[in-house]
Amino acid sequence: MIRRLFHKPVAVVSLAWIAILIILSVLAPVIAPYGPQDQDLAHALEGPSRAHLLGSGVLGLDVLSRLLYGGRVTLVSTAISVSVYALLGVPAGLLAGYRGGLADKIILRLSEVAYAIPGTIMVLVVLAIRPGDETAAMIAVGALAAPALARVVRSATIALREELYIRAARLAGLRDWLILRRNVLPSVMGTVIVHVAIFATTAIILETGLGFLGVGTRQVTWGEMVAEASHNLGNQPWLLVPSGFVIISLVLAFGLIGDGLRDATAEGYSIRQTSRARGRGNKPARSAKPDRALPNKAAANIPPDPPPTGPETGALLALNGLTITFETNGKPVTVVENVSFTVAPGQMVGIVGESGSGKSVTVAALLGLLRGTGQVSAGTMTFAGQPFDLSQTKALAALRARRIALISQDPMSSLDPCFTIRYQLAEVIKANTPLRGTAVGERVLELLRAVRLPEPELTARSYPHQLSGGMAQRVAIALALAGEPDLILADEPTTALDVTVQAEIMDVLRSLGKAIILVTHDWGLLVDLCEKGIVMYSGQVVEEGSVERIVAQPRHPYTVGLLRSNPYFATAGQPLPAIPGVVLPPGRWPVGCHFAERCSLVRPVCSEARVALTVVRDRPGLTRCLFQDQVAAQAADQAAAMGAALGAALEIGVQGTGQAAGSQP
Amino acid sequence: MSAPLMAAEDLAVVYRRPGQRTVTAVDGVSLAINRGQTLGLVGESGSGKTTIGSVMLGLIQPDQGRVLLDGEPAAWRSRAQRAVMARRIQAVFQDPFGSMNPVRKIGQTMSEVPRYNLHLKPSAIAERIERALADVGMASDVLDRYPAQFSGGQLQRLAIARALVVEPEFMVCDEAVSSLDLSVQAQVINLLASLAVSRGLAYLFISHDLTVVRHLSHEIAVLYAGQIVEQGPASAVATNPRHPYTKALVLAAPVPQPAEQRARREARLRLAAPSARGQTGLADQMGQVSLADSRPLASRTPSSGCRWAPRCRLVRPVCRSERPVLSSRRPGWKVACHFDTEAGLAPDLGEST
Amino acid sequence: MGRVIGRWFITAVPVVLVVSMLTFILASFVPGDPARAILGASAPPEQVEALRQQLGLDQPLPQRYWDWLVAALQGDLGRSIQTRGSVATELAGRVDVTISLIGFGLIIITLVGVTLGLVSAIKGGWLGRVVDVASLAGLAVPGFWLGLVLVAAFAVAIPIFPATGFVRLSDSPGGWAASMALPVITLALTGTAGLAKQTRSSVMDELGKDYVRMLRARGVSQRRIILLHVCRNAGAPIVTVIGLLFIGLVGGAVLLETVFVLPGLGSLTVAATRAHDIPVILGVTLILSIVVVTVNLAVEISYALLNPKVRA
Repeated sequence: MIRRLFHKPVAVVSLAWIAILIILSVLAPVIAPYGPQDQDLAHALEGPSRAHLLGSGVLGLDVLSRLLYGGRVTLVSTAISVSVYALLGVPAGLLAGYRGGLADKIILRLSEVAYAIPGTIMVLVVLAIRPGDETAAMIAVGALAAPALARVVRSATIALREELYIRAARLAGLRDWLILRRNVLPSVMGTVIVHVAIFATTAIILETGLGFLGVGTRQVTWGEMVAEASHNLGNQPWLLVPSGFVIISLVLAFGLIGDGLRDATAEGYSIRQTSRARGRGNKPARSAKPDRALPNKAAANIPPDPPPTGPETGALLALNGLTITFETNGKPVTVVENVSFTVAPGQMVGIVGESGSGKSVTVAALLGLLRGTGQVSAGTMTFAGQPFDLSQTKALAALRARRIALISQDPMSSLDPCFTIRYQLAEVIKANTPLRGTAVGERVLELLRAVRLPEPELTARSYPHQLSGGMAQRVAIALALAGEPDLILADEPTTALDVTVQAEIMDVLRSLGKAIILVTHDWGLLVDLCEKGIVMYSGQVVEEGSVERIVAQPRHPYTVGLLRSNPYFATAGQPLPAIPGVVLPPGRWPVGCHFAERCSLVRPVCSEARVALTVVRDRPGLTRCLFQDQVAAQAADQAAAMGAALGAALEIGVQGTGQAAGSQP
Repeated sequence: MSAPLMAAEDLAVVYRRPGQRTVTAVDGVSLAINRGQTLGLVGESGSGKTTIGSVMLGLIQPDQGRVLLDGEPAAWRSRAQRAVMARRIQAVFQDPFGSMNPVRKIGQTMSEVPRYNLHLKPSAIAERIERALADVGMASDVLDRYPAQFSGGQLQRLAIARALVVEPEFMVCDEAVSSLDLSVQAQVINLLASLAVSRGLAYLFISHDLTVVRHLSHEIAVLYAGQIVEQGPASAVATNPRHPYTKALVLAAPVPQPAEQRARREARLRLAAPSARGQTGLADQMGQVSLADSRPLASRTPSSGCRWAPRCRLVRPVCRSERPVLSSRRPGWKVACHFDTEAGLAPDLGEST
Repeated sequence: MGRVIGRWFITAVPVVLVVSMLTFILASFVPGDPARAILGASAPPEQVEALRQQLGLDQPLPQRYWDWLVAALQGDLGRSIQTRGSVATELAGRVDVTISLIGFGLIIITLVGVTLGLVSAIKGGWLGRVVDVASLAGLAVPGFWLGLVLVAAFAVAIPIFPATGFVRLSDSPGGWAASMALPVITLALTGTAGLAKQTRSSVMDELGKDYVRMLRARGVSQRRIILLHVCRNAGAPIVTVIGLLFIGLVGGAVLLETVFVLPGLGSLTVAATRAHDIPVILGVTLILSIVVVTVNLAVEISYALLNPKVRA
């Protein structure tokens, strides 16, 4: 993180300036042209001249020399209070955060007291008691601010304490100080330095303030020079300039370092944030050091797939050639490539794929709701006969809620925590329907009943945090229904829920009688809800067809591999037939088949040119594979093997048991 | 037969928070895991499965009962005791991104325990790390890199490797594959299974996913609201569950086979059909711990009688008054239900309207 | 809401007590004898001893604190060493100046800062950068120096405002406004950009949250999303910042009262510091700690009003 700081020119200049001021102050007796109290009555209160480079004050005291000497006081005082601040605050915070208990309580109480004392006043109290003792005053400043730092360190430490790697280290019986030194301290150091830099600015301003008031040390200080200027504002306003400049520049230097460090810390953190957010969709999978990055194919160079099954007449939604890019390090990176599909009125369509496949981003683009730097670089949609250019998000706003509704993955965070469910539902109803007055309240309850919430009245009165995850997702579905849409986009709507709750939510979705696009990573959910399936891999549709056909007769090697990875089809005691390798991050996709590197049927021709979607030979559907016959043979072999494994499947009063994948019609 | 490698006897964990009702998160749970065996612990959020894992790791002190290692009471009170336990018991958790310190190199994290706990020589440490990395299929050049440079699946492998460096006998895997994508999950499941054989490791495999647990475990214990409701051979429990809750759990998990899934859905709807009181959405009210309300499930279930009773289709008066005992009517297979007769509940379930 | 106030009360009372106790103990270490300081070096020892007894200085420290506290609760803060007058009367005559300085400063800061932060968060671009630079400047420029520059510019060079001096509101509203203008502007200039920056980052945090995106997906207008949902959610952290800002402004006011020669608590404290006038110092810390905990109460009530989770 510190290393990152050195890549910021502003921070480097700031550090250099602080270093220069320190060196000049230390060398003041050597380089100052005059002593701090040398009088030159002939040139009192003058502007810059040859004799006095920065002018002269009362009695002809040389401004430059006094600045050099005055810097010593300010810098030493700042160093004292910053040291006290850090030396008290960091250990106290570590102790409170790591140990908790009584130490934590005491430190929290102390910080509350410290918050209630205005620092300037307390410093004046100290100086009233120890007149002129600036060291004591600056120690008091540091001590008074230390609890605030302790609080910051405490929160950081508590967050770390819950981290798995700290838990693991504790479990391993490592000594506490070792864990603190090796694992906790390095992580909180960034925050500490930011706060120390910001506190240094406060300390400098306070110290110069003391000098200005004339209650600090008896030596010459920058603050005292400002005071001197204040008495001569009328006849020599220039005097404000040199003293003001050094004070402001020094404070600014610390402030800029603090800012730079904060940014550096945030950058360091965001790497992790992004990687944590994987699977939440709508963000490109973070590229892990593109060591052999292939040139990113510009979206425009991709020839369109031949219209798959011809323009389906009467389709509710027809998506054509959707390509989405995200900006990574200033360069556009394609995350979704030329995706087309149709949805019939009332049809349940499922898009299945793993994180990074582009499935969530695809549905977000239909409503113009891409996050961050996401942009539709190509793609059109016909919805209910009306054409839309998906890169024009303004026009898409008209579709939201009234024609196409969205249900997101995390039900809790999709609700505003500050308003009741009734308020939020009413708001959406009023925004999208002509209903007003009491009719709105009735509609609210009607919607809550439609999603089978047992106590609609009570739920309407509740705030989001009073609901369980399953109830919140029902509310989210009710919100989606409020605009009476024709199509619902459900983006992993049950990922955050328990299976028994998930089953109930799926029942609700099934009962709505609307067209749904379900985005999921779970084959079971796809089978449970959808008629039509779309399999995505690395930003492309690799297979499309009826769900029954896809799971029984897959025609793309990835579909085969992903189905077989499911432990449901596993033979006890046998390893799962896992797909080798990893998903390539966007930006590293090859020109040819995106799956080639992991495919067992790969041939040289697969990597030569872009592979187009082709019609499946013996069944309705599409596959992006040059060797669908070989895939069919492979899938049939496995179906036989899986059939044997499934022979011993469920027997809990369930009909249809024992029917193997291969024997489906 | 000698004592099991790892055993828990009559564990109870009670959460007391000032001003709130005390909650028995784990209630009378006994488990035993033999060398090289895997016990799967299945349950939904709030069932207490993670709490049990934490007790077995010494992270939580049980309010009742004890943990036995090789028949001897396990203790984590002092740091020295913890150090000794850590040489035999290790853990892999759910979040691969949290399991490695982001500001330290992989090599620094991995060498920590062998250096400061086992006090090995640098050469011995390097040897062990190399072996562990080979076991999880990673090259040794990862040691100089930072966690941010890896994917979730790779990090989970590294977390497993870090546990292996200690050469433990027993590993707690708490939702260790739950956050991984299907294809990566399969790779990690295979890795864990092969380690069990090659290193003779025993696992307590905690998960909400019965399908995954079934594939990896020899035995499965199903947990509901802090109590074990069913425990037995993995394939038997997963394919022919006896307890109504286990049945509900099995039927709720969707499977990628259209005919089978349709059948399961119908069976589930029959099983969960609204009763005379017209209760729908019971899973929400009873089974789901809200994201904001972190009260364990146990706090909203009856304290007397069967905890599943309020959601059970087959409930009788005795279920509300008497707590069913986990008892064995078949060898090695225990069920806590008043109506678990030799004939089983299956016909009853199938025919109910 | 009752619980919020109750919780505040439980912490506020000990905080005020501890602050006053701390100051009292510190003050007892003052070198020299207050009685001697009052009477002067030439006073006969008997007279000093009599005053010591009268002031209770012969009592042990806890007893003295208790006596002071009991008296303070009855509104008697003792007598100033400097002026011999009642500290309570002295404070009462000055507290309004300080409060109006800080109060008006804070109102301007809040109005301008929050608006600027909100607009720059939504529009972004150059306005965001202006806020960034200005907040750094606000951090770096000491208020007392800025005050002097403003005096040099708008009182000396272009005499629009009086340089120093104070006119009571009751004497001349116009004169009062003119005398308060420069100090309030100075105070406001030092804090506005900082609050704008905090507001901007809070608002941008909210704008990035899932519920905002979902409100958009649900067809709620952008204006409503920002003015109602984002503002309310971003409000809680901003209110906290404003509370902290208030405490910061107390320090700034001390110096500005000296720069502009305003008869407030700040200039009184500075004078008392120079004269080692302990009773006055004790009185000021007591009053200010009460003001600060009251501000904290206001913060907590607004917090609870904004956030239903806290209210519960």
